[in-house]
Amino acid sequence: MFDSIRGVITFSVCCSEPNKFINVLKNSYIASRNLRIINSNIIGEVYSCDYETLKEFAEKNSAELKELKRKGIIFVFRKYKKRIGLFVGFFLALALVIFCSNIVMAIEISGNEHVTDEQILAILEDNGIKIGSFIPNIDFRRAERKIIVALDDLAWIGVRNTGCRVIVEVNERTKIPEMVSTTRPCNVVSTKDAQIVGLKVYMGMLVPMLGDGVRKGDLLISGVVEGSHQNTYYVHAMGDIIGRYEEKVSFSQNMTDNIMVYDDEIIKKSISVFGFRIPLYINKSIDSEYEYAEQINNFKLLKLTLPVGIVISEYNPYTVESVSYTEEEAEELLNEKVKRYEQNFLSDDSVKIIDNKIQTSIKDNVMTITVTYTLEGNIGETQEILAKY
Amino acid sequence: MRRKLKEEYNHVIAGICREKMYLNTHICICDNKRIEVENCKRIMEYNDIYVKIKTSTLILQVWGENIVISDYNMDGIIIEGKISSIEFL
Repeated sequence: MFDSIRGVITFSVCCSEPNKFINVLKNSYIASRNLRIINSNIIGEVYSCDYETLKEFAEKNSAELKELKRKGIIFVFRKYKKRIGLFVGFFLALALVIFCSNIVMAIEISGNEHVTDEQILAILEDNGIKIGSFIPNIDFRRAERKIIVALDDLAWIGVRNTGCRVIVEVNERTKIPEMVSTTRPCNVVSTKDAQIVGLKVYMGMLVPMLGDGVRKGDLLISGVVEGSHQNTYYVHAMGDIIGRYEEKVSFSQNMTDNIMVYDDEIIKKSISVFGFRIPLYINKSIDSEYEYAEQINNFKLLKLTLPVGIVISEYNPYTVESVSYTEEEAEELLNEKVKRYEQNFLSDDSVKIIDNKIQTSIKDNVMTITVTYTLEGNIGETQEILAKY
Repeated sequence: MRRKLKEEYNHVIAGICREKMYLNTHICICDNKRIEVENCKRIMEYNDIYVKIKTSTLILQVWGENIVISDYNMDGIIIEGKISSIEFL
């Protein structure tokens, strides 16, 4: 390897006194090797740096020197020494490799279920960890402490880097479920003013009868049970009491309202490189207010997502205009609100809509719909019996 | 008589000095393929079957086939090839 770096030249010397020339060579500081005499020619090898000196010796001793072969990397470098671009390109490539190795190119988050990736990424960004950050400047331990303090739902977090990837592993806290002890004595009380239309008692003593009316807070199933020998014992009352009750909900709508009228959508694209954005558009400001949405499409190399991509920014400019509604239009809007309310809150299997009465009124330029629902559902609620045992 | 004694004495002293200062001829033979000779003064004769070298204390003749000499500029030479005999003169 050393010979390859230094470069070795195989030479041939033709002279009248080969032995004398060999001795001259031997007594000089030139390191020569594999010297042999073939047909009165001396053939040997010297390092490339000694060849000029060998030439001088050959001239002094009236010998004819010929170069037979060259071997070594140094000759390749000499051939390309004027090609500055090669060397500059080599160093630029080296600098790019070193740079890319010390820049965050991807952040991987694992172990989270309820805490979103965006929440974790936002806190990481506050602590200087984002795509394009310089890894040696990042304090991972400090970031871990900050994230744990900021997000209560996390029990443990680990942030580390593997090359240019930052890996975040989290363990979420297990939430304590609401546990109802089935051994504690309790009553079942009513949560609403209702008429009892259905009963299922699993444990305890039923107080009202089917068809009775109860008020909010009334006892439905008692946990205090009298035994056969006039002794009293306490149980955990359980049961489903279905009651019919009324619920009033109001919705209102202004007859004159401000609405947003949207103009044509404006799409602008830019290139994102390690977090830096290079716009691909001429900057024209948008005079009105607008809604903004953004989508980033990163390039992929095999399975690796690169920190280079195209950012598509969508601007929806709008103007606020005043609109007057007729009674029919306002009523239609209110009916939509009612429908949405029923879909969100009353479409559950536990509640059944028996009837609804709608009352409409207009006052002070505001139309109000009041809906009175007659509903059927479970009205029982467990209440612990506080007693000395 | 005195002169002879003096010459002998000088000869002994020179031998001891040469030995202490490592100026003696050191020959290292590896198989019949390689001989390393230290303190070589000059090459008296050389061709591909025979080489005659003069060292600090003696003259060495090496016979063989495809004899090749290498000099790494360390006051010694390396003789390589298929060596058949070595003679001390």
